[in-house]
Amino acid sequence: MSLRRSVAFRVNLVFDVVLAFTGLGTAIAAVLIVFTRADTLAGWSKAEFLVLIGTYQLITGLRTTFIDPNLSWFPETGIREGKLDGYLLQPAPSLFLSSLSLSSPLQLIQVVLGAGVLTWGIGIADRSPGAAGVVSWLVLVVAGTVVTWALSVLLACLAFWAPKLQLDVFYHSAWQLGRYPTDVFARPLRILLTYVFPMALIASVPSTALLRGPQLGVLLAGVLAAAGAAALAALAWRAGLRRYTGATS
Amino acid sequence: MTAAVEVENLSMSYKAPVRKGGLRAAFGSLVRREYKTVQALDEVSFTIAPGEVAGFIGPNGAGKTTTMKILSGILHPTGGAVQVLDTVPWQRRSAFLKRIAFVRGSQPVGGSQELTVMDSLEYQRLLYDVPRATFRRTLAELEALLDLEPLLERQLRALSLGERMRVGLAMALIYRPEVMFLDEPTIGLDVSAASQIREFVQEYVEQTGATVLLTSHYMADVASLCPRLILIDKGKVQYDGPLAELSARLSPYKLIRISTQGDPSPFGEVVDKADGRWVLRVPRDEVAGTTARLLQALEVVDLAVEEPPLEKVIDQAYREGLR
Repeated sequence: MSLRRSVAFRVNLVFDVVLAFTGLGTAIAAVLIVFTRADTLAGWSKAEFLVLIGTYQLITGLRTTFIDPNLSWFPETGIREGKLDGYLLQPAPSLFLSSLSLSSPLQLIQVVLGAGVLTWGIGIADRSPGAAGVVSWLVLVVAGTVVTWALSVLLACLAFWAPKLQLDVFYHSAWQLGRYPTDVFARPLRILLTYVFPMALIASVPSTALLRGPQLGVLLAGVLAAAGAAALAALAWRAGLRRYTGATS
Repeated sequence: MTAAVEVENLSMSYKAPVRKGGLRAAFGSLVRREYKTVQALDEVSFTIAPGEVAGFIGPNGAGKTTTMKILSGILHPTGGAVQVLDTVPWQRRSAFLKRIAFVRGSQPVGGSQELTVMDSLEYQRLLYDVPRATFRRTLAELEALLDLEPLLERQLRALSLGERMRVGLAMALIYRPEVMFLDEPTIGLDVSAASQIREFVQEYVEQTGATVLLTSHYMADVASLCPRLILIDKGKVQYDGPLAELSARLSPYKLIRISTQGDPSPFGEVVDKADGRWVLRVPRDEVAGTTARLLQALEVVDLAVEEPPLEKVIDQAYREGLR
């Protein structure tokens, strides 16, 4: 029986790797096909697109490794199955326990793949990024990850007010939009994705900074957005707990 | 010394949406929602002294679990004041959380089910900041008391219900809490597993002087562990005092069990009879007189005076309330 179990886990590993490869592969293939016909797309070159896909994959990997195992389907697992009650009893910040205490290291493979594509993109770029570009890319990736975490927390917090609402599917579809540069979208959608539901931050903005040089304003805005989103998430969490009435008897 | 648990006028209410059956009402509730306020706890007050073991009983839905969740800081109440170890529980200070434990029979062990028992205990050690030496000593004691040795290397998810409960207790007690809330610790356990848990709780309390509030639907748990009972029903405390007094108050009768060839029916209400053995129900204060008269009038082979079974008494209390 234990043999069966370990085999099941190994099969999982293989599937995860295959899945990550195909997901990334199709994204890259689509870009390569487009660029056999055109040199730029919405002002983005092939190399820039690859950098974008790499960055997107990297942050997605970080999300699925550290955030998703904790917060996805939170209304179901967290509240209805009583996991939150357990966290609330432990002498450590409950927000940390509920949002970051678990991880699935296998998903780090996505981060590795993302880094690979990123290097490829940088390799074929016309001019290699300067030190300032790399630093601001790093800062913005961190900011993007923080915003991602905050959005997941806010989404989970909705469960305190509307326990039946499960927006994970919506969130994950919106997430897919992050893999395209915001310049390809029509203006209203672009504004929405930049300011309201900042998917732009997870890939477009860092990639731009890396390849076209840093802009102080963007950098500052990214850091502020991250701080603001994190503060908002923490506040919502506290307000939510105040309302929490428990779901298990 | 101040009380370990102090509850004053604790109230908890929440709004639940209600609607009548049928499609029309279902659509109607989309437009205008009607809520009913459910009063889970209504001005509950009690105190528990340090080192005391109190039983917390009441029918399903009486508010026992809600009270325990408030006392352990999971829920914010809507009214009243609570102090556990001189702290307001729902502030959830870590210093406070390290001194209490809340163990639920329905879900004794949380956390990652793939971890082994030993891993989970190590995790608790880190989380609760238990010094290594203390940890090792406590673990050795718990191993002996709870028979943990064969379980340490197993995964949590592969444990049976009884084993889970033992592990759940070990996880909670490894950091030596001063106040324990045990919510139906023996639910679903077989007779011997349940009595093992009971003995263990008893021993732990004797060794450490911990304060315990325990709920259970099994009167055996309550009778063997708790000198004091708090009976709660419909969110209100109905009785708070020693077990013996409760049964005296609830049941003004005693049972006389008698074996005789004669007919004792004139002496009291016959509850049960089978081939020469009778059970009579007699008012409490007449027991002595009736017994004497029985012995005089009949050829008695055997006679015993008994309290009515606690289960029956409690059942009566749940259904009719206390007078």
